[in-house]
Amino acid sequence: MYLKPAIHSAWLVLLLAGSSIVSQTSADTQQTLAAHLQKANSYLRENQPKLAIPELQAAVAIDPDNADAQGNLGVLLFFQGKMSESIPHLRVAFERQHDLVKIQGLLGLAEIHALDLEQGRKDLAAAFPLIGDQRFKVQVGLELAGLYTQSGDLNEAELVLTQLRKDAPDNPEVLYASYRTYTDLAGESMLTLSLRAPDSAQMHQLMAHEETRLGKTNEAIAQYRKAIALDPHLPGVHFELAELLHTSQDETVKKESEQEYRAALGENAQDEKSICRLGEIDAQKGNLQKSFEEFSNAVRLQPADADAKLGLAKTLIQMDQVDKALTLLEQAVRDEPTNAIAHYRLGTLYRKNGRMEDAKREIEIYKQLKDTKEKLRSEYKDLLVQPNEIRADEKDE
Amino acid sequence: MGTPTPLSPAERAKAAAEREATALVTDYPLLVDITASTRIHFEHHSSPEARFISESMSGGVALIDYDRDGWPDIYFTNAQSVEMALHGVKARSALFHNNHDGTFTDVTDKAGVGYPCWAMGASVGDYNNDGWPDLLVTCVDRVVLYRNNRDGTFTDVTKASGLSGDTGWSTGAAFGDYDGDGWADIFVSHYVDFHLDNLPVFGSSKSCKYLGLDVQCGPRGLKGSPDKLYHNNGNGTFTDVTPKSGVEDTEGRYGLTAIWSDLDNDGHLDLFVTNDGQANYLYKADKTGKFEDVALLSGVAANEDGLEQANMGIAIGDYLHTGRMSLLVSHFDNEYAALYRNDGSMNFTDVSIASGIARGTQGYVGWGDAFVDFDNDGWLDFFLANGHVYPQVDSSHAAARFLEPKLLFVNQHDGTFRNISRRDGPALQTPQASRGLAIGDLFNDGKMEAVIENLVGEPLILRPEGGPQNHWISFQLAGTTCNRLALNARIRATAGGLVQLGEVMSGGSYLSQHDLRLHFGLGIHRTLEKAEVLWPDGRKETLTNLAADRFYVVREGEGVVSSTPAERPLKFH
Repeated sequence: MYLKPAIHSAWLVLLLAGSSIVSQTSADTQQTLAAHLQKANSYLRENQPKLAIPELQAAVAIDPDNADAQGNLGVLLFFQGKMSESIPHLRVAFERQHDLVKIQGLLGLAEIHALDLEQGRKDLAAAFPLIGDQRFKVQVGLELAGLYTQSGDLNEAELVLTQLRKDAPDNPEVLYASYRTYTDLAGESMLTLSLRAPDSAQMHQLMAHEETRLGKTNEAIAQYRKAIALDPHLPGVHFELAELLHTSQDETVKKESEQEYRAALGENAQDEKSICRLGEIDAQKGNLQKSFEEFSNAVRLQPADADAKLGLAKTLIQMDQVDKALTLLEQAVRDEPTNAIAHYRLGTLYRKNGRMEDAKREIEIYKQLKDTKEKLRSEYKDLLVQPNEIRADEKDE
Repeated sequence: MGTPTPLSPAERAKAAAEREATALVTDYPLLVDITASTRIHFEHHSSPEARFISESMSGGVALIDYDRDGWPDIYFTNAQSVEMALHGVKARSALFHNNHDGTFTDVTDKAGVGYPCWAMGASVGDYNNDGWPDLLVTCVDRVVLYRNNRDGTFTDVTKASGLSGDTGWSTGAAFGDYDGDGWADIFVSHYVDFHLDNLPVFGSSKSCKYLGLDVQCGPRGLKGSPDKLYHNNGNGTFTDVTPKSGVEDTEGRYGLTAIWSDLDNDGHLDLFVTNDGQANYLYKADKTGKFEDVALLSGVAANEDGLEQANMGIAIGDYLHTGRMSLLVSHFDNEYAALYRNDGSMNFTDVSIASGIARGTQGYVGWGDAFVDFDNDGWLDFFLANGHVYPQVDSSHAAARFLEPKLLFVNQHDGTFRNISRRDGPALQTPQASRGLAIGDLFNDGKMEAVIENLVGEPLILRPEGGPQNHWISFQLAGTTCNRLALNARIRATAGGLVQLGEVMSGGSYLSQHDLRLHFGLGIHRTLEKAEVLWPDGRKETLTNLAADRFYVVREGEGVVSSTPAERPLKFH
């Protein structure tokens, strides 16, 4: 756990500005208390937190119920790295004023540091959903997710990360933590499944996923077939197998995908993705009317699916119904602005209609999306390449 | 013996469908293998494993009437294996003289064209405007320009012409007078940066795998070699004008085939270049001799979804009788041959699926291709030569095989094609590793032959036999102020309701050269009512009421200068 020291002034300003607690003490004592608080304020304004700490310690000795002073002192000690010392002050501040959720978050972090994991987790879990400061919420959330992961409570970790991905979708720390947690979840599930039901259809389906991930297409297909032999009604298995067959470079294998898509539809007549694939296959066979009906059905089932609209538009283009196709493509790029193919197709139709500026714009978007995708693919490939592969590639070039 | 088990209804239906799919056509000539009777003996060198990309890409063939006797002769290019090259052993290309009797004679040694280089392909042009066709050979490490000496011999003028600086792996080249000065310029596409002292290691990386098998590397993963445009200076020399003309291939895409044609009918020659696995170029010409790549916006850079394909050979023709030249590009086996219909104003539509071309060509690795009217009905059909890149596919469990059949699609006159590949005789079904393809009337009898160069073994010559007795007409154009071979001159031929467009072109197909004469099938028409000749310099001539079944020589500004009837059809055994 690490919070940048520069943060602390923001915390203190907030607390000092809200300071208004008056204890029932004598006038002298109150004057002394006021003097300490004033001095602490001055030091903090001069950015001398170390000098402010004794003043605040003196203040809380006089008035232990002063939430502002306790909170400020806790914050200062925390950012000075004195986590254990900060805990009682932060706790008093929070107990006196329960809306100080950031203080509770800080308290949780300090407790974790002090190895009071149970209490720390409680405080972090309570504070996390209430913290409004985005940066601090990410810190607290990541710490909390880490605690859940350590204790094997991956489902709780996943809930925290789901919230974090909504709040900070581009944060690399959040994205990595998500990746890691889901990987752990997958590994844990795979291990459990292999122990509890090693011969189950689900185990073979899972193995098919793993083989696919490793690029072992034939092995994956074999696993899917075993899964289907054990349970032909396994959810998703026909579609997954069909997708794999469909991407094969072997034309004979590729043709087998059709019957698997049909099997998927046999299991679920509303399987819009399978309907779309059959629409594609029929279009390639020249069965345009059938393809049209299939894609139309898919669009009816999932009106916001850009791919279904794109497929329907492509078939309509083949049927020389360009105007209808154009409308669909305009909808598709609205539904999914990053769909490069839809932009390309739209560009070609604009061009045919003489709308050259619109065509150029769409083609330019297509190029940008394509370049981005290729760049990402290249970077991802570079990251995955093993040293011996790098050497081999160098030889090639 | 007992009673055979009766077939199930599904099996019966399947058997019936198979019978129908393979029953010989009756309304179309059968393509018959006449190779043996031509006495052509030529063997393209091959390496059994094709461990290097250079061992898979060669095999262009050119039809060239080098002695101007009015009968097309044949030049086969040859390429050594890497092993041969490393030991300094050369491969012999070969020129075969047409004997006018159905046979050919090897005249390579006399002609002096046997060992140009590590040859890939060839194209024909008349670079010095003497009226005699010259030969440009593309090679792994150079280009070679042969000047026709008018006496049956050629002289290598590569150095004298200023082309010796081209040391890249050249592939498809095409002559064309892009600036309209009356002299044919040359565009040379280039493939990958390939050197014997730095050979990519077989199976060594992800780009050297196919279906999980170790195969040759490339082109992906290899550095590309940039294309070149050479301006003809009119004095026997050329100048590299690549950068200033706008065709600079800065990315070094893997160029394979190029063709010049005025694709938007604006009076200026445009240039189409296929790139293997990358976006094609369509260079639109402006009035100042400069080009702009408009391929992406025009719809010919990639497939209908904007995905780049393994673009190989080019067929070009007005298959719809619209007066516009459409393009058909051959591709790898997981793709399909892409038919780009020319809708005018540089708008093309990928109609591969709707036309029926896609489903017939998927699963084959296509190379040389052509629009050709084998049955002379006045509508261009489509012919495609195939063959896989990797011999190793034979050891896979996949359907793909190294040797593949040829494909033939008949024009249905409505924008669609009928696949008769399995119904047009056994010759088409002979599996081969084909590459180059050149179409021409080899025997001057009005039948268009297909000459196919194979990567492995001997070539194949197919001749249409039988079928409907349709009429035809043929033109040889000769420029006087435009380039002498009249490259990119066009004829709009009208016979009854048939209005066809033909264009004289250098290069095309895959690293190959078709007969430069323009042949039109006329169906039932015995007369061509009108032939409107548009010369490349913009001049127009109209010829009327020409008798069918004859060969016409038309000279720019002079009309028909000679006419000869068809030869009596030869009998081949």
